[in-house]
Amino acid sequence: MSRMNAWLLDLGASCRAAVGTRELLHLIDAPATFELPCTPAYCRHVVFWQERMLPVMDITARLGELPQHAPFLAIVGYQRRRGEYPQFGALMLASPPQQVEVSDEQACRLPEERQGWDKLAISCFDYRGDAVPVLNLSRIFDAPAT
Amino acid sequence: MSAVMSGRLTLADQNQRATGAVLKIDLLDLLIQQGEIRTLESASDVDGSDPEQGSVGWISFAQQRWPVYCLSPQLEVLVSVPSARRTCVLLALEQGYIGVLCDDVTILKQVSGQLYELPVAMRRNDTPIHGVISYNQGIACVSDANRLAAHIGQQIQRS
Repeated sequence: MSRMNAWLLDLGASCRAAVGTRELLHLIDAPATFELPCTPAYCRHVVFWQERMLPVMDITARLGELPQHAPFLAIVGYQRRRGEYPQFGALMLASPPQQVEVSDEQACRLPEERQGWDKLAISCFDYRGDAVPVLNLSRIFDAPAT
Repeated sequence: MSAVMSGRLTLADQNQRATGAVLKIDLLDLLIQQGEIRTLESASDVDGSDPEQGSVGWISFAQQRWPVYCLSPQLEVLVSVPSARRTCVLLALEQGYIGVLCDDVTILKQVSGQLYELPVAMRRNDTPIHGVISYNQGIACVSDANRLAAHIGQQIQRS
């Protein structure tokens, strides 16, 4: 029996990545976001969700693409350390996520066409011929701005 | 001084109340402690002759003149002044004063509500923003006069 264990994320600019099924908490369509000055180009906006203010991360901009205006936001949760309270953030998406089943046999190298995945991904798997990085959310949201 | 407005942001500061002033700079609402504002002047009172590097002129206060800066909504130093910048706010620093041009200023008798720290991923070393509050169906960025002056100084040094 198949068991979906990952969300496939369309990050825009023909860029895809994945997170675990438990990490994606909520999808926001046409989100109201607010721009903050003096912030990095890849994380310029915040969104309010359940009385929290969350940073909105544009992964493709972090990989060198131009900043985008995404029609969807994925609210994600992660732990810095096992047992700690969860932290939250938002990822820009170009289209709604898709659930997929991934096994260890699909492990592969990170995509080589874009530099910087090694700082954002914890692993990578092959999905229908494409290398799909698995996002390291703690590293993405807890690293100070550059 | 209220901890909310002094730049020492902790969770314990949330929901405390203080008096603030919101400087409107185009789409940006910038919240400063009201006690850091010495005077509000018309932008037409700014003397544009022989400005310091990075400034747009001078404003007189306490028998001296102080540099006036014009900022973009991204808090970048501008050397040409948009027509909407009609007000000059004189901010008190640890040493001296600076003028900052803005579109208008709203005095808040009570700054209340949730204060949010800037998320780690958004914190650049040179940011003068140390928090965000909900304001007017949007947000206001919380700063203070000395951080803003340091941010302006860093930009001028780099240029």
